[in-house]
Amino acid sequence: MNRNNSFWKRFIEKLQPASQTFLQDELRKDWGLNIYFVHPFSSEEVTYASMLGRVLESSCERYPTLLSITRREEELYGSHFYTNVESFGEHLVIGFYLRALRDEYVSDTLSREVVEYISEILFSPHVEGEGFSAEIFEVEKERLLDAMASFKKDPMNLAYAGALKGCVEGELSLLPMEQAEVLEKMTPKSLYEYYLKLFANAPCHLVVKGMGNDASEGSIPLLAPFLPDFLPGADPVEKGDFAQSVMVQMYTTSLRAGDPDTLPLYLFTMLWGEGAFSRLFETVREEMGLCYGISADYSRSLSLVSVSVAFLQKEHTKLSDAIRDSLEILRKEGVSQDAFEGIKAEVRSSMISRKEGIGSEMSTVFYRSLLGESISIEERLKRLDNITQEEVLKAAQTLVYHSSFSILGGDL
Amino acid sequence: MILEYKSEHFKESYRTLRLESGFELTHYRKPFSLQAAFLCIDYGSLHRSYRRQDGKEVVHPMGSAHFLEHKLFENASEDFSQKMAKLGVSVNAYTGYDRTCFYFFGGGHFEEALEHLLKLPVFPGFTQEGVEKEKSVIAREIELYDDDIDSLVYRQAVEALYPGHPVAEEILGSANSLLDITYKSLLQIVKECYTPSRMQLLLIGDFEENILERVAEKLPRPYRVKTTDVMTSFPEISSIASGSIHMYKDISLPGFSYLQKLPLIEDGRERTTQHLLWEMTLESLTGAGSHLFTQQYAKGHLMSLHSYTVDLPGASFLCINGEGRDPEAFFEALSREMEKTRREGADPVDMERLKRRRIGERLRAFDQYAELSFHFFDQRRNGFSLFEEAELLFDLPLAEGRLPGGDWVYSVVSKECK
Repeated sequence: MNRNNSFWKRFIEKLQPASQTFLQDELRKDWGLNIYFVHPFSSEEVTYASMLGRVLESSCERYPTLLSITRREEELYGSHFYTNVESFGEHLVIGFYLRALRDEYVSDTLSREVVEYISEILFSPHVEGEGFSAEIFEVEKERLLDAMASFKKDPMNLAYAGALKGCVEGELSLLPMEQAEVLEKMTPKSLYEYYLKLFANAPCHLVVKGMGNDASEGSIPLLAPFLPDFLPGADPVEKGDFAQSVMVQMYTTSLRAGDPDTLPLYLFTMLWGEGAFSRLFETVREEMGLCYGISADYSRSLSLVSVSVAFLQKEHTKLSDAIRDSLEILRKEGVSQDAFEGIKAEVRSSMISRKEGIGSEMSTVFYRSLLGESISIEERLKRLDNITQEEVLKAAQTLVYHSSFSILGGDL
Repeated sequence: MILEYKSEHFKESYRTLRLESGFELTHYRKPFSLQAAFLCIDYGSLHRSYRRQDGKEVVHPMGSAHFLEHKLFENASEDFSQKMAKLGVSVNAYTGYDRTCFYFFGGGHFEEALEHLLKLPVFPGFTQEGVEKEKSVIAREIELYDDDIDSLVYRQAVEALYPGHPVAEEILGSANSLLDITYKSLLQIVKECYTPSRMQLLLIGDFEENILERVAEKLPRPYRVKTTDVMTSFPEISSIASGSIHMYKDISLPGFSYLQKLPLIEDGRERTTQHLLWEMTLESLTGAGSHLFTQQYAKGHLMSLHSYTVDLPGASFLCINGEGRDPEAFFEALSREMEKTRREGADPVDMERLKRRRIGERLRAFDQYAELSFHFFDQRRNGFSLFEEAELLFDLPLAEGRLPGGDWVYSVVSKECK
């Protein structure tokens, strides 16, 4: 595909992206297209964007029912349009995605048909009067409410949501699946007005991989460094009707997303609780046998490291202490040079894997650009190679235990 | 013996080297920088009972195959995952009904990592103490599945459909069966079942053309020595009284699973063709583009629905799993549609459209290493090449899309089932 194709030109004219990024890939059998909108975070918009995604995925003017839209995707060799809403620090990223096969494997006209299909979905929605189709709207609203109810029955989701609320002040602590009140008040008309505003006024960013060699145009905006306001720490414990007990501990860091020390802190989080060298896995699971699953995760956008664990109720106190102790010991003693090189090799391998995928590379390029880290994979690998263990342990000193949220289930 | 397989149609190729011992090595060429190795052993949860060459019947406790997979990672001198990570690869494993697979991804010191992977299942380094400690870890893993509705409804259904058959047993075993697993019993499985003709190595990536010969030269001895295989036989499948079963659990949205037995087919090509047709017929009935799904979804009876067929040595069935507010209303509608499809067959227009979707999925799978490995190991049992299997899709006799009858179970988990 190139910019001279009339169907592509028409699509771009309608979309009017503020930036276009093209990633070359002639080797894979599929190609992908991502459209991103970046807005300041608001719990209301999270719900509107989630609902908009569902309604657009279910119908448009030309394919007015879920049946017809699904069948169209089947005809297009399983090409797939989908949406996603993610919080990213004090922002919200709304994504519209398309994946399709390359023409040479099935049909010369597939890319044209697929681009026309996404144009139908995005620019000719299924409207009745002043709003989206009421029938489609009501069905999707009910199913989203079902999904929200289901979310609340998963102990780990609940523990993470509880821990986040005890840690970050305001709306930022709300996950998209917790906004039932906004959904109750939404109407087909208000959702359609949101859609019109989104596509008429908001700048969007297009990332394409595997289709054409066009030069990129414009740039993805750099977001200002952000550090959330943290609440005073607390460690609530609740009872739950689950077979297992779960806990999420939160640790804050003063490093903002985009800070050069975030890569060393990421390496530390890997050493502590993720991947082959996980200290938590080695000590808490293997040596002490206190749990089955335990992992640490670094959220750069919220400056938080969370530790999630599923365990037996009677081990609660012992486990809680063991996790905090393992952080102290790791920070103090570090790891062998061998292990340190090992974790770097592991991260290097995952960086290379991400570049290979269609969706993973597009998403990496976009989010890195938001953080001002739009450097090539080669440069990033070089940076990784140059990081020392001293830098990693220094970054780890910024971690402070903040709070936890536990749900006790199973029998004592 | 070297065998070359090439498809102009898919622009894909691979070569296989078969040793006299029966061990097979395959290089699947992909021009990406990512490389991967999958070492598959035809020993899964279904194989816990077998007969040795000397006629002795051996029965291992439930969960043994999965337990062994965990323990093979244990080595007194060094953590295996760490050793592999230092070489720039990420290692993992899984256990299924009919296989255990150890694999790694990465692009670092690949051949050195491969040497370690190949030693893993044939030179076990686990200890008696390690085996005892692992029991509590796996017990926790089993508990995780007790909160998983999909797992609960499926388990309830398959237990009812195949009483006394190993397919009805949990791959992880149970809290009680774990207690019977011993250091000695695990070593016995390695010795008797991890034999060269039951093992295959699949390398995916951009390697030199003589990679297989190089790897074969350095293979540990157990891969090169021909041994006698044990015989696994499966109990006769008994007929059951079809019906519904319910379990109470305090969940927001009920989960359900419909399982129905399918005929066992001996010939690999016929079996693959038939399962493709059954799966597509099932999709035409219950897929996201079916009237049944979209109507039930709009009414709120359903939130999600997945269907597939299972084709295992000794067991074959179809599965429809989902969640939604009204499992009973869904079941009524499903029964009507199933009956209609049995009578009239699937709509050829639907089948043609679904064929296109399947072709798309299949082509994409050539670029997804894990998916590719599943297809690769599946087709081995069927006795023809990966490309022949993919080509079958293009020539399917779509008019024969029809579901057979058979014993069935409808399993529901909800808070209304008290």
